[in-house]
Order: sequence, then C-alpha cells, then structure tokens
Amino acid sequence: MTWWEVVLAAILFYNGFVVVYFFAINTQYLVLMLVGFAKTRKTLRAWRWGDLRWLLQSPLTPPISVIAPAYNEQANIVHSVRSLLMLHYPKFEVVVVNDGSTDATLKILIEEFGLRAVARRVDVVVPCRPIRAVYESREYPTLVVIDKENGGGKADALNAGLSVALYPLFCALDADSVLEEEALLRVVRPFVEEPGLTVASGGVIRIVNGSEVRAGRLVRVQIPREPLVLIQIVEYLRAFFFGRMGWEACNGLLIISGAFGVFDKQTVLSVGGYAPDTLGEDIELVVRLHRRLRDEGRHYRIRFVPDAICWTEAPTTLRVLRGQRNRWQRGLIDTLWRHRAMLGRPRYGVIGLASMPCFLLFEMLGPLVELTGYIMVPFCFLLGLVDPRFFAALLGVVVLYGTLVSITAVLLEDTTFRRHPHLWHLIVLALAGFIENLGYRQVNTWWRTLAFLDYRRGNQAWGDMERRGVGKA
Amino acid sequence: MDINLRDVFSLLMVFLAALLVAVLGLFAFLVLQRAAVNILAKQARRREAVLMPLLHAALTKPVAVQALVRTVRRTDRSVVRDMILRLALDLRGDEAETLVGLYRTLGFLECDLTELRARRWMRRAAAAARLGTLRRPEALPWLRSALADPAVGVRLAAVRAVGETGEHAALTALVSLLGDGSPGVARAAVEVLSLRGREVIEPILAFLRDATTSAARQAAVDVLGFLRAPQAANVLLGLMKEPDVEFRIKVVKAAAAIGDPRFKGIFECLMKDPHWEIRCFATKGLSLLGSPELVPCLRQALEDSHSWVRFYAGLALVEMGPVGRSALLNAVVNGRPSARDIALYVLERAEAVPVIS
Repeated sequence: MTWWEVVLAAILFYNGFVVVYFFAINTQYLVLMLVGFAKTRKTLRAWRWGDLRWLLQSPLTPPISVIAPAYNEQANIVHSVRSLLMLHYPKFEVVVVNDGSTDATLKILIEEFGLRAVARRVDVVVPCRPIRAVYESREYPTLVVIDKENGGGKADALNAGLSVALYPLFCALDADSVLEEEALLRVVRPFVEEPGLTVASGGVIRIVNGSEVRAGRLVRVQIPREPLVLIQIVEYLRAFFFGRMGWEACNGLLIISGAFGVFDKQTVLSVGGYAPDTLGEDIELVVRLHRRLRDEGRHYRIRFVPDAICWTEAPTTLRVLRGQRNRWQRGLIDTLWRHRAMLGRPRYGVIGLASMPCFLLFEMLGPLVELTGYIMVPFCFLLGLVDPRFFAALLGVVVLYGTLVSITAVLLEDTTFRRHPHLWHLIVLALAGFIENLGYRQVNTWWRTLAFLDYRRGNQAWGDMERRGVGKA
Repeated sequence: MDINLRDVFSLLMVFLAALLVAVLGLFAFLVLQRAAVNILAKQARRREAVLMPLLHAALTKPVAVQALVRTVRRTDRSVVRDMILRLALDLRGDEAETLVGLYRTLGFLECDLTELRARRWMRRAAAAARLGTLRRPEALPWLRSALADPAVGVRLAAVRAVGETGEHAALTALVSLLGDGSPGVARAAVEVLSLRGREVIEPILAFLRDATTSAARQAAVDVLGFLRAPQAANVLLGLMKEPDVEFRIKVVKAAAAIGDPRFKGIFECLMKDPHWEIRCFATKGLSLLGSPELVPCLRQALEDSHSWVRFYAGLALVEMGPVGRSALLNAVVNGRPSARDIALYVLERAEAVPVIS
C-alpha cells in the first residue's frame, strides 16, 4: 500500500465514521424524544382533579424565593416582575437582582414598584460581588430588589439572591421570562410528592416571540414571522423539551435550564452555590449536585416537569444567536472538563455511564465531527472518491432524517400540550424543521466549533442579548 | 469493492426512500390528526354550548333534569362529566347536592365506584379523585378501602378525596396514614388533617402516643401545630426534652404555632438551646404570647448569633408596641452591629424611623 492509498483509506474510513455518527446522533434524539413523550404522557395522566387546589391551600407547600437576575432588562423588567408577583402560589417572595445594569432597569423598578432602600443586613452565604443596596416595597411586600456590582455573570447574581432569599426552596429565573400562572405550583410538585428526596426540579422553556403577552401574562400563543425564531421553536421542542424529559425518564437529567428551575436551597448551599467562573452555571450546578450527592451516597432526585412552562424571548438576529450558542457551548465544554472524573465511572450511575458520555459525544464533540464531515465529504466528491449519486443520496438522508426528528417533536407536542392553536402553525413549524437542515444547522455547527477556540483562549464574554420586549401593559 | 459500494448505495437509496415516506407520512399524520382534533373540539364546544344551559337549568329546576338526560348523547358523556366536575369544584350546599344527584342520575357515580376496583391504578386513582371532587359521603366505604390500596397513587388520591368529604369517621381513618410507608401519602394525610382535622385531635394525640417511627411522630406533631390545638399543649410539653433533635425542632415549632401561655417558661429556657432552629421557634412562640415581661428575653435574643433568631426577636419586639420599640431603639444605640442592623431594619419596616435613602 502506498502512502496515498493509506490517506485515501483513512479519508474513506473517516467518512464512514461521520455517516455512522450522524445516524447515531439523530437516533439518539429520536429515542430520547419517544421516551420523553411516554414519560410526559404518564406524568400528565397522574394529575387528578383538584390536585393544584390542594397544593395551593396546603400548609405543607414549601414557600419559595423566586430569584430573577436582571442585567440591562429595561424593556421587559416591569412586565416580568408583575407576572412574577401574580403567580398562583401560597407563599413566595420575588428577589430581583439588578446585576449592575448600565441602563435604567433599577430606576424603572424603583419608580414602578415604589421601592425604598432598607437597612437589611445581608449575611453572605456564598461569595458574590458587593451588594450596594437592598430595596423593598410598601405596596408589594413580597418584592425585594438587590442592587449589586456587576461581574461574575448570572451565577454571581444568583449567589447574591441566595444570600437574601428567605425560604427553603428557590427558583432561578431569567428576568425576561414569562411564567405561566400555575407554573410554580407545578414545578414544585416533585418536592411535595417526594419530600426530602427531590433536590431540584426544572420546567419547560418555550419561545414567546410572536405570542401575545398582556400585563405579564401570556394570553395567546402565536408563531413569529422570523424564520430564525421559528427554527428555534422546533429546536427547543426537540432538545429542551422531549430530549430532557427523555433523560429525566432515565434518571439522567444533566441540565435544568437557568431560565426556570427550582432548587433546595440548603443542598445548593452545601455544594457552594453557583460557580461564577463558568458560563454554563445551570448545567454546572446540576452536574456538581449529582457528583457531590452521589459521592455522599445520598438518595436524591432531580426532576423535569413537562407541564410547568416558562416562556422566554429568543434571539432574533444571527449576531445575538451566535453569541448565545457560542456561550452555551463554552459552558458545556467547561462543565464536562471540570467534571471529567465522573465520565464512565459506575459510581455515578446513569450520569457517569450514559448522560455525560452522550453529552460529550453528541453535544460537545458533535460540532467538530459535523464540521469535518461538511469539509471531507465535498472534498472526497471533488477528488472523485465518492460517486456524485452517492453524495446526493447521503445529503438527502441527512436532511430527511433531521426533518423526521423535528416533525416528530412537533407532533409529540401537539399530542400532549397542543399549545399552538392553529393547524397552520404546525405546518409552518414542520417546514421550519425541514429548512433548519439547509443552512441553520451548518451555521450553528460553525458557531459551536468556534466556541472551542474561544474556550481555549479563556473568553468569558456573555454576549449581548437584545430584548424587544414581549408584553404590553 | 465495487460490488460492495453498489450494495451500500442501493441500501442508501432504500433508506432514503423509506425516510421520505416516513417524513411525508408523519407530516400527513400531523395535519390529519390535528384536523380531526379541531373538528372534535369544535363539536365538543358546540355540544357544551347546548348542554351548559340545560345543566344550569337542571340545577335550579328539578323538572329540567329529564330534559338534560334526554339530550346527553353517548359521545357527550365525558364532556358532561367534566362540566359537572368543574362546577363541583366551586359549588356548595343545595346546589352541590343537586349536582351530585345529576351525576348519579347520569350514571357517573356508579361508574366511578366501579372504576375504584379497576385493574389499572391510574383509573382507580382518577375515580377516587372524581369522588373527592364531588364530596360524596356515600362513596366513603369505597374510599376508605382505597386508603389501603397497594398503589401509592391511589392512596394519595383517596386521602385527598376523603379530605374533601370532611366526614369525621373518614378523617379518623386518615390518622393511621400519618405513618404510611410512602412519604407522599403521609404528607397528604398531614395536609388534609391540618386543614380539616380539628375534630379528630384526640385520635391524633392517641396516634402520637402509640407511634413507633420518628417520621410518624413528626407527622402527628406537624398536624397538631398546623391545627393550633391547645389540647396538645401538655403532650408537647412532655416531648420537648426528647433526645432526637429533628423531632424536638418539630415539637417546638408546633408549640410556637399554638402559642399557649403554658409554654412561656420552656420557651424562655429554650432561648439558650444550642440549635438555632429551636431558638428561632421559641422566639416565634414568645412573640405570639406578646407579654411585656418577655421584653428582656427578646432583647437578649436580638444579640443571638443566628440571623433568623434576631429577625424574629425584632419582629416580636416591634409588635409589642412602645415597650418593644424602646428595646429596639436601645439595641440601635447600645447593641452589637448585628443587633443594631436588625433593630433598624424592623423599625424601618414598621415605619418607626425615617427611611434610609
């Protein structure tokens, strides 16, 4: 064999690997979605008449501190805080952490809610940047606003909130999110059903762009006009809804979105709170919880609740989306690197043997394999190593398999929650699932690949998130 | 090699065709199922619009019941059942009685009682929950047997259903479930008894005396605290010296909620307890007693090492009026920084001093 033949054989072998990898990643999505769907149905069927009413009036429903970090959120902050104050929950407080915003976030909050600085002593339970002032309101006794110095990202803001939070459970929330009225009651249910066992519980994140929000309440679900957002809706359904539900069914949930999750405060404090030196503070915390609790041999559950829904604004421009995806990828790389000792270790159960290896293979390394595939296959085609018909067929399979997974996600949503009121919404979303494979996926792969370089360079930039504002008063 | 590649290619083409069929099929299914659902939902809405006035008429005029029974088709049954259950959530008194009569006339009650013996636990639990929503005492014998169901979900639904009926005998049956093996069921029993168990305090006290597990005893103490039962004061006083710290915390918490003057002396002693939770609940208990002679003790608690104890001491003092406030002002001037901060904060909350800005 000449060296050229060896190179050709290696190239062909790698192409084969890329094809197998591609099937594996999509099959993984499909299987997780179907498992997640079965679990979702089971969870929804377990709801009984009047369950929520019992939760609402029970003296045992644990009180919650809702912590909402806000950085330059002037467009949404009033609607978001109003929506939080109107939540259906027996006993809760809302802790808004103004993370040194450079816009008028704090000023708007002070004026709108009649806030005044109070001499409340803050016992810092986890280190965070200095807290400049604590504000309370006479009209809204359940609202507390912390003004702190910027730095340390969202994790630092959440840590500051933890120092002020009064209650045994806390809910980490994005300040721009719109929670459904009963979302908090629903997401707390695992804590009530399995007291002492559940340490964290996450809700579903869905995209609010295009929908009608009034006075901080989602009143009508619509779909946006921007194709970029439409594609993200399908993506959220596929990966953040049924995908996570699938992992939950296997007791291997690795992430509770930072946009909406409830945690046992004492347990989080016992592991040191949020890590301010990572961009994926949400996934890092959950993985650290798994690690520490398993090391301690403690029985625990981390749950995902399919009907606790939080609506959030998705990026509408490529620039902002690039920043977001790049940040998520850096957060993932960082978490898997920090906790690499858990990988493949039987003592960490499903987490060490399935969830983390899958996240490593398909989520973290996925962009690298995909990108090299995108380069190698046309390269082989140009060198005449691959038959043009073979190449075209392969391309067709790639696009159709991706579309199949996306349409399945839309169908599963429609057979469980049916949040999109019109038939044409589903048709548009299914088409978005097809279009996603023709450009969006590739661009996303490129952004996520660049995240490796940024991570290597130690880039800790959060990226801009422009808010258009989702609600009308 | 050539043959192999050709084979791979044909395989790929087959797979491509299969995928295409699957995608198109799935898309068609998505559209068709939604169209069908939309049609059914529209029909259900139309039927609901027809049936709702009849249902309301049947609630006010007994003669209208037959009209409703005649109008209900087989396909309407689930719609009507849901309508009745929705109404049952809010109705009380005579209207609720009429509603249940209607539920029975339409055969739903019988159906639910049969469902309580269904093979699948989810169906049994759903039936129990529906009977609970209707608050039917005649379903109690069945619900009481459901309390012993092997499935946790059924026991949970039955506990709440029994709670909805609020019948004395049934609530007594719930007391033993405070020691249920499933923490969820035990918790549900605590929940129900805390809200409806005022008349079964004696059986709860008896359960507390006989219970062997710590979880069961804690559950009973929790209920007594939530019920603010003064009858439990002597029993709780006896339990305050238990060696199990977790249990003692629950006891002090319950005693603090009851706020009986008999606890005054022990609360004062507990202010020196090494466990902050116990000091905290003792402070809360003292705050309920509100006696001016407690001011020195609460002023002392303002200097406590734990912020929650200081906070409740501050709140207690501010609520005591001029005597308490003067103790707080004393803490502002002479207290340690932590006592000064909490005193300032509670005074400010009570708007007793100018706001810091």
